[in-house]
Amino acid sequence: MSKHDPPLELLQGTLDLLILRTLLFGASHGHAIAKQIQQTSGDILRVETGSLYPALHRLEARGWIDADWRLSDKGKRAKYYTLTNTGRKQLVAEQSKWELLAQAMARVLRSSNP
Amino acid sequence: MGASCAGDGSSAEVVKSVSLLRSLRLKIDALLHPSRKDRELDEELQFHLSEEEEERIESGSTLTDARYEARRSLGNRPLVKEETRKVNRFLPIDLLFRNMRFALRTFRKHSSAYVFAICVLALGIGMSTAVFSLVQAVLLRPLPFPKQDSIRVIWKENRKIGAPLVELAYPELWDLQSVKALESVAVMPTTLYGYGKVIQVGSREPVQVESAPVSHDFFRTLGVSPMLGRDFTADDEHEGAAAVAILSYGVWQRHFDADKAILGKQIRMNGIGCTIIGIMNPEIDFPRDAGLWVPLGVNQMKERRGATYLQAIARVRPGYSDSQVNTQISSLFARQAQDHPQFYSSVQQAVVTSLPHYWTGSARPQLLISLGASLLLLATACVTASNLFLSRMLARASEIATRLSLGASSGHIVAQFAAEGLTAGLMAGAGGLAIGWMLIKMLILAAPANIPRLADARIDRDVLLFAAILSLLTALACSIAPALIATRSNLDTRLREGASRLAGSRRGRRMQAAFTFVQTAITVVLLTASLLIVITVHSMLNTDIGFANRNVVTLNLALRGNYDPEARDRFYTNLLARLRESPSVNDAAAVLLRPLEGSIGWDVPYEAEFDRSKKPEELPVSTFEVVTPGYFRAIGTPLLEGRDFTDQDNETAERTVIVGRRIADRFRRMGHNPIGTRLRFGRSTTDSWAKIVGIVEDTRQRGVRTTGDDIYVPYRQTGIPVNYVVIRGSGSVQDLTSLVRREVAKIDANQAIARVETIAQLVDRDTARERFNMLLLLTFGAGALLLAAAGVYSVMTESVSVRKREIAIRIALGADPHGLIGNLVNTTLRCVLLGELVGLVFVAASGRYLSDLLYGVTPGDVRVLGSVLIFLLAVATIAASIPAWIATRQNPQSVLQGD
Repeated sequence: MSKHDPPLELLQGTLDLLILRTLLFGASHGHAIAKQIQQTSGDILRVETGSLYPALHRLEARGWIDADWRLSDKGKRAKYYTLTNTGRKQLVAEQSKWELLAQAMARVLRSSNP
Repeated sequence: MGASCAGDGSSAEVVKSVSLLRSLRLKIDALLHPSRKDRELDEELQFHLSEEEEERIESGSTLTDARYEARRSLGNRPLVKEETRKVNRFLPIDLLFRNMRFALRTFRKHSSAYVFAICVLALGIGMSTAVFSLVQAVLLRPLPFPKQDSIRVIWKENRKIGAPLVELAYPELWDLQSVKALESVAVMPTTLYGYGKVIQVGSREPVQVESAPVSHDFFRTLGVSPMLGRDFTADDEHEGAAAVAILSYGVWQRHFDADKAILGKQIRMNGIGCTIIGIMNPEIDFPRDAGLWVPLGVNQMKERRGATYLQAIARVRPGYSDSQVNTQISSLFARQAQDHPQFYSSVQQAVVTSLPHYWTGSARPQLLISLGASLLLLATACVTASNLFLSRMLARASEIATRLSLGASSGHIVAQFAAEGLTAGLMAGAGGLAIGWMLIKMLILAAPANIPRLADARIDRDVLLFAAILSLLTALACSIAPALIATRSNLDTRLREGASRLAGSRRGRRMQAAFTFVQTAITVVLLTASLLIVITVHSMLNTDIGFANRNVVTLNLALRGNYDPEARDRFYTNLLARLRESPSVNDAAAVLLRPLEGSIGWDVPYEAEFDRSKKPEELPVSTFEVVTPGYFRAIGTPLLEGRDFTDQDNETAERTVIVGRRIADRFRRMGHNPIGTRLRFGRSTTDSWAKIVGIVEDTRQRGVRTTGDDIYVPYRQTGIPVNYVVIRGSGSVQDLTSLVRREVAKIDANQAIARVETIAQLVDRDTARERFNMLLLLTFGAGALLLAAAGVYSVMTESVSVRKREIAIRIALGADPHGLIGNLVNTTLRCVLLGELVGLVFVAASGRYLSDLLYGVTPGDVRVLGSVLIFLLAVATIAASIPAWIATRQNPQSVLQGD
């Protein structure tokens, strides 16, 4: 765990979106979700356990994802999360919001005017 | 965990509510099965760990390295768990429970301080709850009469001659019945005195029972009816109607063995047959101590406007305001004075009291003052506890700093203190209830018997609610000081600086100064009140009441049956002669009404022969006593001048009276020798003149606190009966009583004696309320004083411990220890002085509520206030000097090196 605490708000919203997006391809457990995000981002984004599990439980409590216990590929009991219909809608909304934000950020950052 | 799905709810509303429900279910689940949820979370994290490990092993790490790295990547596992758990909880409730468990652990760890705080609070809550239960029983619990607030008690007063109670006559019942605002009216005697009935059941010994003659609508006006049998009717009240009676539940139980067959049967009452027509239900005790009720208007007195001995009970018609009722009754009484000037004076005014107020009388202010005092004591107990919790918080600064650095928010810390306060409040509340329960029993035993319904005090729903509210308030008081420090300042940085910096901080000092100030102010109020009441009781007990023989036995022997005035006189002459013959008897006499029976008794207007200019309603009023010769010697009232009555003061002799010193002095001031002056009673000019033959010391005929004119007439010169035997002798009270009983039985076996009491007992009864108040207020005052002293002591202790280095340096530099002590206690004593001043202001403001209860002292008595202030300052100085003295005695070297 890194010594400095990154700003929580930004991470929280972003992490939620990343989790939802990852689960779009099917059920997965916490560790796999973290790995998936890390790999897909080209190792740029590292998901801290201390943020991941609270986020998963929060999303579950909101009803955006569902959880049940299944056996993993290696035959161990693991908690698998799946996207719910609400979660799917939320993903669409969040994603467009994020894209809008990213475009706006890019426009501001790349602008040449003072 | 079930895989419940949100479903394909087409509308967003459904989705929202479903997800809300689901989130709620998860939270409830988490709350109900915290351990299962915990295990699951553990398992989930464990799985993550093993996946991480395997991954590292696959990428070539050794098992040990993999395990280490995996654990590192997981981070602070308890923190992860804590953060995750939070998501699924009802945060407030859950946090509260956990914080309260933590609070209990804290209390156990630092038990002595917290036990002390909780005990002080429990005592405060217990006392307040106990006094409140008395207030509840006497003042708040509704009377057993439906719509009690619309019932009024009506009489008249005459302020001009200082007569607070002018009674009504039976015909005024008819007058009042014409008042529109009154739905129904009944009359009853103003006191039960003289209406006792001797009842005889079968062959048992006759017993005297207090009876209340009432007009037939009495119970209907009160809105109650007998539980068995029937109520009175108009027919029962006709002259010459068959005698009937309604029994009280108590008399029915005690003397009739609760036998229902008694209904409709005849018993002997005062030797005459009387039919029992009803049994009242148990709650009805009105007029107080009535053992049975009989119809009132069955004799010729009914027609006489001059026979005033009654008061009216009336139920107000719905929709009439208090002022409308009062106006209508006042205008009625004004009309009466016009229509019958020979009976009513125009200066008389209506007194209309609601039944609840009439019922409780002076018990109301007394109980409310006690309740106020107990709440003040609780307030100072809260200050003590608050101070203590603040100190504990300061002492735990390092613990709190640790928790903060581990990630607890300052909100957490405040919540923790709130939970500690709540836990302490609840424990104190529970303890307080237990203490209150015991105190109620003790208070009922200690309380005067004449406060109605006080013995019914118990912990009921309202008392429980009261205790619960007090507990919450104390909880608030305990947590508010630490919370104020925590929120107003940056807790994080403050606490990291350490406890001593905080205690020495301006805010901490100011708060403790405020504590000292508040406690001192409250203590001044409570000490002043208790000192005033102590002086009151002391003055009452040391008042020269004019009855020197405290051991004299008085007993009621109102003759029943066919006794005309001559026969009555013969009976008493005979009885007293027999009693005086007994070797164990020193003096025996008889009197109309024994002293100290309260407001009852005869008030008669009188005029002297030399001053006949006064209008009838302006005549002075005196108590009127009928006595036998030897009465003054028996009861110990000194004869100052002239002579006592003798057997020669009889029907045929010149009429004589004996007056109290007050009247004699007034006559002397007007230039007349009282002895030989002639007096006349009443307003009618037909009464004959009576010569003053003696002057006796003034007495407190009605009560220890009541002064007034006294006039005595010899029993053989009036038709008014003597009712009380006054006997003094060498035997015990029981011996003398049974002697009287034996001698009475020899003359007339159908008579019964009652109400045996010595003058000392009568004085006790008359001072019982004040003594009870004294007990309560002294307890509260002493408690407040102790807490204030403890408060000053602890504030001082803390302040010197903060400044111990400074003190050590000063000592090392050769400062004078005495000057240093003075310097140290200075600030605290200034707070005490300020508190005393504010306390004084409160005393001055509340003085007028107290003054009704006081005797022989006024609320603003300078000596009382001065001694309270000086005493409190002295106690505070001692309490403050001890820690300061200890601090200056310490070896400066060891203090400076120890730090």
